[in-house]
Amino acid sequence: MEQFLLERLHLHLSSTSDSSCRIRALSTARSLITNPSSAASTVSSAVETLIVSLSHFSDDASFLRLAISLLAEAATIHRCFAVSVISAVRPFLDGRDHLAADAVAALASIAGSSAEEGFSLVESIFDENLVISLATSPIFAVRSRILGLLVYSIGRAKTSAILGHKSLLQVFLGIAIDLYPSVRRSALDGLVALCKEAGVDVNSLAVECCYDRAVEALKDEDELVRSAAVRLASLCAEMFAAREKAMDYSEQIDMIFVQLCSVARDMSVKVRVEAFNALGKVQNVSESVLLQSLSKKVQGIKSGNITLGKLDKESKFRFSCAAGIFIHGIEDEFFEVRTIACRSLGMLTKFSVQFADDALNLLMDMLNDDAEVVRLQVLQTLFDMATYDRLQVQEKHMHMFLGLLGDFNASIRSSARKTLRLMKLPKLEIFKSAIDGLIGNLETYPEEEEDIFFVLFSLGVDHRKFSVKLAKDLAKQIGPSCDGELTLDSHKVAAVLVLSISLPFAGENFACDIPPVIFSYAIPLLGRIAFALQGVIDQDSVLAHLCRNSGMPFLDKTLGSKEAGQICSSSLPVWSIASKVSNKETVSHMSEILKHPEQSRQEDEYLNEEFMRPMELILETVGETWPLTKSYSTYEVRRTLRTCQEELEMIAWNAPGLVSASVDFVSQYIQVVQLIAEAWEKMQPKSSHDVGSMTLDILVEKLEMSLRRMRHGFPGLPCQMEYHVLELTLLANLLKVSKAGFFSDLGLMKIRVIISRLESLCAEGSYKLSDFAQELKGAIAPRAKADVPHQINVYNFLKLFNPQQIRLVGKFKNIKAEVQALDNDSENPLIYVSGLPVGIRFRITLYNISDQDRLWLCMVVGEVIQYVFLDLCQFEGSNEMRCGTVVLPFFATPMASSFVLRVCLGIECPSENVAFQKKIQGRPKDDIALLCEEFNVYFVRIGDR
Amino acid sequence: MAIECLVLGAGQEVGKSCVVVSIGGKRIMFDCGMHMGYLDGRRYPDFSLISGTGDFDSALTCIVITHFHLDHVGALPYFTEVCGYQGPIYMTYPTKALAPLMLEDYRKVMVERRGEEEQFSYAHIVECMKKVTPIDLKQTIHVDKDLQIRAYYAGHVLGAAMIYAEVGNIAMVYTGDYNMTPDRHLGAAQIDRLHLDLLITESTYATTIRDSKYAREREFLKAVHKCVAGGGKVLIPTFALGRAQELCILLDDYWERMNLKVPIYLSAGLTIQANMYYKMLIGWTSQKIKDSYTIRNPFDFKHVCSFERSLVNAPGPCVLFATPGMISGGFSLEVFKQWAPSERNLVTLPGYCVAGTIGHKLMSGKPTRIDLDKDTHIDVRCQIHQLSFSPHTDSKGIMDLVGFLSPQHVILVHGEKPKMASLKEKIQSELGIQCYYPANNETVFIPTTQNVKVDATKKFIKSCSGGDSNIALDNPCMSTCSLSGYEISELVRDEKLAEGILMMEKTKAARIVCEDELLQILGVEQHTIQFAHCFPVDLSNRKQLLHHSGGCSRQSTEEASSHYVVAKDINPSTSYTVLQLLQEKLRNQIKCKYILMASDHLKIDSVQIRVCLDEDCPYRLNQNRSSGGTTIYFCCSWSMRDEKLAKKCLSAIKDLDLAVQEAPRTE
Repeated sequence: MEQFLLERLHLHLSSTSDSSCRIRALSTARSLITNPSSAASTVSSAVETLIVSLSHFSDDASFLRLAISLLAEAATIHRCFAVSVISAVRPFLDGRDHLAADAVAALASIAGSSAEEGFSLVESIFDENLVISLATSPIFAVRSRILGLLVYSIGRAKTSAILGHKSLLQVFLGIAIDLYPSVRRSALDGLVALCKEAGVDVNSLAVECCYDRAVEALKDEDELVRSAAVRLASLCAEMFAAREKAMDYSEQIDMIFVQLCSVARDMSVKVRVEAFNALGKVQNVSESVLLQSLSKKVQGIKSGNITLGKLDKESKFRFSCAAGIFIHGIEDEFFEVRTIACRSLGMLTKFSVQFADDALNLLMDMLNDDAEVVRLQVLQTLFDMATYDRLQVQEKHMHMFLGLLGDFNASIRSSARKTLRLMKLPKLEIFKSAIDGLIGNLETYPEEEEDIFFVLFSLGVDHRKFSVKLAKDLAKQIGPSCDGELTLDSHKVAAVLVLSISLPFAGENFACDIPPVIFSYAIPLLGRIAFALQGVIDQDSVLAHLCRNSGMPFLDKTLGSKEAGQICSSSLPVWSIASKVSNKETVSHMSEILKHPEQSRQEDEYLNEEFMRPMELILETVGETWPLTKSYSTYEVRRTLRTCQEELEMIAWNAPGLVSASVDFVSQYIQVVQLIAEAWEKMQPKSSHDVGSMTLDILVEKLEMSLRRMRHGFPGLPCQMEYHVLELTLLANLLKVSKAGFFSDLGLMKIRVIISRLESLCAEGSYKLSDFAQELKGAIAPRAKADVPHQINVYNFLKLFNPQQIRLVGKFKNIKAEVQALDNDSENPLIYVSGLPVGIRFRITLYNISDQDRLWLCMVVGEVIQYVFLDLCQFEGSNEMRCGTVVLPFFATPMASSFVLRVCLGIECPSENVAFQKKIQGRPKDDIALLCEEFNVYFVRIGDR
Repeated sequence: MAIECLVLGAGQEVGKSCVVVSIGGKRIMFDCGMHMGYLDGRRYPDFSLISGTGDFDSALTCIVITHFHLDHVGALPYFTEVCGYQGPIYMTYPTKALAPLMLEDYRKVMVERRGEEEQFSYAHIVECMKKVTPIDLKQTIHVDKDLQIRAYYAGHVLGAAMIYAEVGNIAMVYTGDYNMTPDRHLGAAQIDRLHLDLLITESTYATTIRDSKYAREREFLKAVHKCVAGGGKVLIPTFALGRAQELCILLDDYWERMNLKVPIYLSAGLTIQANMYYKMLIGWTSQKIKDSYTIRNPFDFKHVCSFERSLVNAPGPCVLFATPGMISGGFSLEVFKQWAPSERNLVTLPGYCVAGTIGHKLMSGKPTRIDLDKDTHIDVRCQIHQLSFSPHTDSKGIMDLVGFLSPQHVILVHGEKPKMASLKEKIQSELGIQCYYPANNETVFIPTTQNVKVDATKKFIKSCSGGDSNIALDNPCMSTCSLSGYEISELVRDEKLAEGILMMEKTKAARIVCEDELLQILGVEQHTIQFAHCFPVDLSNRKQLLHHSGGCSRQSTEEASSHYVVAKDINPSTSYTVLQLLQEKLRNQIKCKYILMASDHLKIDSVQIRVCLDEDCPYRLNQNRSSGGTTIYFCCSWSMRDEKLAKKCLSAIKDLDLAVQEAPRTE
């Protein structure tokens, strides 16, 4: 077929063919070239034929146009033809007809399609004269396309642009007054790109030329040209400003500002957006012009102002263009314009305090805008102004602003608070109204308490005198006249309390002004306050601070003798960070955002206090059960452990990810201790165990399983903890052989492996092997007569077993998995056909699994156990977390109308059985440790539904 | 041709807008309003000035109404039905929908309440509206062969338009009332950049410069919020259309954001009906409304509750919109009577109240007691808030629009005389545009520039669009390497020129052709004028010259003294030497680098200089010159465009004598 088409192509392009034939030939060629399965030789033959035909039919313009574009396409698909196609197309560039446009387009597409090489190939055929003759071509398409190519070339090839910067500048400047708007626009865009590319190298006269062109184009009829002109003018202003040092361009910059202002009243939205955007970028505008832009009334010449002083009447009139431009901007019909105007307004406040004050009046009014995005922008602008210290609020502003604290929209409220936090409130009344606003916010939206407390606290630190005043007022209310009416649940009281207690943090000398009673009242709120301030000050410091200031005796066992003063000094740097971080929410995750050592230390401390310490306590309690276990008071043990488990669940409930490994570990540990206690009870010589409780075998089996999980599920487990786990494993092995009284070879092997590991751990940590392990080691030492089984008295060993207290030290990870059968529960069972395999879709999420780990999904129904190996390639994500959905088959479907499959996921424990390996296909080589809870998958036979 | 502009109403006053403009034989009436301040004949424009005979159909080409306010449309039924105008009438769709409502409302008030004689009946209104052709924004209407009109968005009220009219090449815009800043429900006026001979603009606020609307909104919301927070009732008397919707949107929005639960009521049926129209005519509202319309209709107010009369005295705070706006009677007065005595309540007043209404009384100082009639007195203890919302543009807006359109002439209407005078001064001094503000029944003649349309040949247009003149890189006088910033700016700042010849043949339209096309068209051959001048130059020391030319000049004889002999003597090689010298000289004097040197002549552009050996040279000046030296004839020719250059060359050649003397010295 390919050959046939190629032959037809040759035939149609032979010299005798007529024009319709040729066109048909082109479509044939096209299909040959674009078909990805065409042979390379076919394609090259077709391309060559086309290239030859270009010179053959040089009088058939319609054919040539199509052929050129087809060749360009061929060159973009198959890069190897780029060279020949470019040289074939090159002659057409000299023509003054429309083919030149097609040729340029072809070259542009080649340049744009492939990487550097295509571009440099195209570039090589252009020289200055050619570019200029193309750029002055009477045909619009040629001009516009060569312009496009030139613009594209800027910045593409840094070393060798098609033309030098100067010539390019000339070409662009020349074409910028073309008859066609699109050409004008590209030329202006080209100038912008060129100026950006050249940066400071552009000489100042060239900038002035650009500027003149831009000013001309600002009055263009086409809106896109005007937008481009605005961009160019803005860039010129930037370049003038950059040269400010060398020459005085301030008047020039003012002029540009005014010119941009005149465009900012354009009828086109795009132009207005562009213009306001540009206005914000102008640097070093003189204050008088800035102020004019905020007032619709044309201002008179101010005496003493040199800039305006020397301007004649004409230029004063010209400055009137700027009159009130920002008022128009923020009143604009389109929110895009309003947003940009607001942002630019904020950017310009940097240059003048007076301007900032006037702008603030406008901005505060804008808070009433109907578009949410505008209101948010206003708040952002206010926030920015506060960070430059340009925010001087007055009383008249506050009504509108504080109104936002009650806004319907949470993000507006949050932004308003963010800004409020940084505000400097000049008067007590304003301060009071701000506090009232926050209280109102607290009453309406109590869920934002955390953030509101934080803002109150910040305000208190920043406005000490006012806070003292409010605190004293509050103290009066609390005073003797109050007959218990004051309830701390009242939001108002809580708010003022937070405000008041912030004071000592601002400096020692203010603390004494606050009545101590305030601090004692604040103590019940400790949890809430500390939560709001988390990341800034930890709970114990707050407590210490409160107690100290209220004069209460404070037994500080956790913090030792940390003084409040120290707390302050240590927390102040953090404080300054906290104020920079945009939002309160981010403060709690600050360790991720700001890798500040101080901060991460604080974070650690916080984690420690909140989670690790309680878990330590739990472990301690668990450790205390050993004597009970030994004295067979299993009931007591069980009860204690149950409480511990519950407590742990409480902690786990809101534990962050960082401590989840510890939580898991402790939970496993409790389970192990419980199992040991149960098993121990079974070992009781004259046991009176309850009917129906698990047999020892099952208990030991479970125990081993849990211990395996502890040994292999926590990579990076510290030595001491591993030692403890290994000791427990030894114990489990002993319990296993308690009935028989002697070890099997396999058992011995295991114990030896464990003991040797214990020894190496001891060597590492330079401590002694425990008596228990020591004895056991001696008991199982190889003997001369290998065939005599190792008989040991388990009970003796058990007496020796006296584990040390386990402590949570160091950091470790935990391997775990979440497995879920999709679309299945007891109500919606899967359907199967007896005897045929059934596919089950699982959603599996794996944590901390490395590439070396071997995972098995274990499916059990009745006696049948089926293992399925999980290929980690099926999952997406990194070692920390992988997840994916897999369909796994279960083969042994029983002859029953329904069944329940128990599924769990396990990891192969690599070093469990060193010597002895079960060599059975399709199941784990070693024992597996379970990584998730066993769960059920429900099946019902088809037809029995 | 001139524009004749007859102001029938709203000249130096506000009310009964009506302007009749005649352009090129077409007569357009813009607006046909009534004056609300008069009850006599002055109420309507003086239509007799249009046509003494009453044949308005032939006197007017069409009527265009800008918006539905009565001072712009009020006299229309009277004019069509009573005066008998039958010609075309244009107004925008919303205006056509809303104008009858306004007219009927007004008629009812006039006839039923005041018992006046009926000027037009309901049937008249209906009939009148049947003649109206609705138009859409930016839709160009060809009223007839010559006259085109087009409507642009004007803001102000729903459906308000600015009207562009064009006859031949004369164009004008009548703005009607417009607003350059958007409000909560309407956008800002929008118009293209047009080339206008005349702009007729309203000037209600000719001298006022308004500050940001946000401040006004803030004040209003603050007052209302404070009142309802204190448990008070707010009465907002408004007219049914426009302000009511804006305030309602404002409040509804605020209620939503501040989570207020206080009910807002709309009282009158007309307001509800008007809201219905607003809902239908979303396309004519502001961008914000259009944007949010996709989610919900902003005129379906969330917080507006249905109203019953009994609710007036229901306890608790509320906000009530009631008509009419100036508390001149009707429901707003009824509610006012009930609510005014409590200081917790609030009454907002519109920006402008007619004298004699309660609104006006409240505005001019706070009275404590208003006597409604002999028996009824109202104790006014409530708070008063004056609104300053206005749908008219301020002075800055007018200046912006005039500046944007930059017409040849401006006529101000719809304003107060002293303020118009000051605005006129401003326009003339700042924008340099001629400005007028005629009184009623005055006519202004606006001269227009005569534009002649010419055709142009393809070749000419190509030569214009080529852009060759812009990029001067290939200019031989300017080498690329020496291009400094100065030169770039010189090149770029050049105005773009296209050269052509305007041909005006008797029967055909004028057209511009290229130079070379002209000959073709006229069928004649090209003649070129060539100047030539052959003149002698005395060379004082010929010897040196000959020596200088080397041994090639064997035939030269020293005895020769007459110029005839000399002419014979000089052989081509000598002339070559002379020319070389000349070239050097010229290069120094004219500062032109591009002098072409051929074997027998020099060429600078079209100037050709050669040593003339022909005694019978037709250009030779036959003057006998006798001097000690040698005389060489130079024959120069040039074409007209290089005349200046030629003169320079000639004077240089005439001084060649010196050059030869100097030449050896330099060697």
